[in-house]
Amino acid sequence: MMDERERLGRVVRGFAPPDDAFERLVNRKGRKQRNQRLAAGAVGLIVALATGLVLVRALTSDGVPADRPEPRPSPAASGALAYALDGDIYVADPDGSNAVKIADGRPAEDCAGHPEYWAEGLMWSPDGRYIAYRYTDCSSSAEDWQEGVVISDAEGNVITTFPTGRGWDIRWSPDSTRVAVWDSLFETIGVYGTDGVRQAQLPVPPWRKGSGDIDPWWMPDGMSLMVEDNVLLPLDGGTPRRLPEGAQAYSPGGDAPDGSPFAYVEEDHGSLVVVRSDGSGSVTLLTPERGTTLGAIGFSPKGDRVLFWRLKDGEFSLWSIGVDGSDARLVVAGTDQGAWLVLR
Amino acid sequence: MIERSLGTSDAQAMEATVEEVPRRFEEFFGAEHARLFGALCFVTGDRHEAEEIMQDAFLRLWERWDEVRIADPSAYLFRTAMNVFRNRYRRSVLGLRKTLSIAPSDDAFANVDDRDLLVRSLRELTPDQRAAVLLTGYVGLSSEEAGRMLGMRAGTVRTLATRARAAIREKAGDTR
Repeated sequence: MMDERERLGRVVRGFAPPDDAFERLVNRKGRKQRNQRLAAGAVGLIVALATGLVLVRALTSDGVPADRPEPRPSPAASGALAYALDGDIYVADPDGSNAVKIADGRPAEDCAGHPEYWAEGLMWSPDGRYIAYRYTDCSSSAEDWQEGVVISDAEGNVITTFPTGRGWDIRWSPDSTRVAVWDSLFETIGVYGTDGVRQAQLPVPPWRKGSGDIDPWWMPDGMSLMVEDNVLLPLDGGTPRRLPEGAQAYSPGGDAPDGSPFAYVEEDHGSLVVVRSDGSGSVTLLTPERGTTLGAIGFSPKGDRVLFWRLKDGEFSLWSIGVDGSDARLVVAGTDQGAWLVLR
Repeated sequence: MIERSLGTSDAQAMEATVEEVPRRFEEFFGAEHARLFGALCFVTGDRHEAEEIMQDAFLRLWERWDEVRIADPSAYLFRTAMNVFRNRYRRSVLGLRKTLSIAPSDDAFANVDDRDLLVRSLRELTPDQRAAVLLTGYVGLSSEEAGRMLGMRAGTVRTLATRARAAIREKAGDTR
């Protein structure tokens, strides 16, 4: 029986390219070069005109600088929204209003093919004092980009930055004093303090099953980390061990306290579902139409709404919805990276 | 990246070292364009769109061909093509362009064996779902790598691929 790769490969190889593909490419290159020559001439003219305009303005200016808006206080209260968009990091009110840019980065096109600042996962430390997000080293190459972690406060004052391996979520310890990230993807996990100093490095045992395509997460006592396959890694360097089946379920939103509800997207229909940790109280909030994909992020501080992302027609957006499935509201358009601050 | 996959024989071709990569651009084009075109037809579902993206990606590589010695031109080409796809797709759904649509104008899947259940299933997926399946299931990238290539979260790639596979399974169930 063919595996998935073979079956997909058979389909891919079934598409025959046009015979004159290279000739068309040569023609295209010629057209582009001609257009570039024309554009260069036009740019030269515009630059000359602009320079003249600047000189005229400088000569007629009274020297008073333009008014600058006063910085607004950052909304670090419970429920505050942090999100990433086009290489920048923002903090906003829970509904997405009053957004303040706290990190001004470059979009992917200008930064080694990746946004300069981005953030997958919960971002906020549980006590609300910090925000953790990732940076891309824009001087690195798109083929072998380098990245790391930024820890800042809600106003954007950077506390520390440190290079790490590639990964996704930056997982805060329950006491908000440390973060866990992949030091080497799927192989070693680094535990860093808010001063950026690595406190522990935990190798993932080679006998662990699973793709590894999931970030490590903290046990509630903050003494150990979990990885796929129910494998528990003690921070004190103790022997990793596998917990019994069902002892600890992976929570996509992470950090769902025992007994509390969590939100997830079920596989069959891609519906957004809320359920208690013990499997009871399941409520389907939203079932996407064909071509739309949903992803759960987390609950509001009061537990009355769920934040989720939507991908429709190639466009991401953040939405919230009541836990009874009513009153869906757009929060931020253009991103799937955001999280509410839920103080613990 | 790309060298990790593209089928067994394709993967061997992709694993060529820098020394083995054809030195002349035209030879490189000849060796790579069918694979790239197939992958882009798979993702876009539209032959015209696939060729546009392929040409765009090759042109960008060609412009750098004599300037910089790219360590892995195949991976560079594929990454560029996916980047072009991502940008065109987003622009198209924003209404700025109409070059790519969910219902393709030049249906690529019409030209392959329509009796194939998988082909029929793929037609009903969205381009981003097909891209997630292609990159994780065929090219062999992790969700993180695929996410970077597509400009989305790794979790989103996982969700898209899971949804796509569920839809394929569902389609298979319909025909039983």
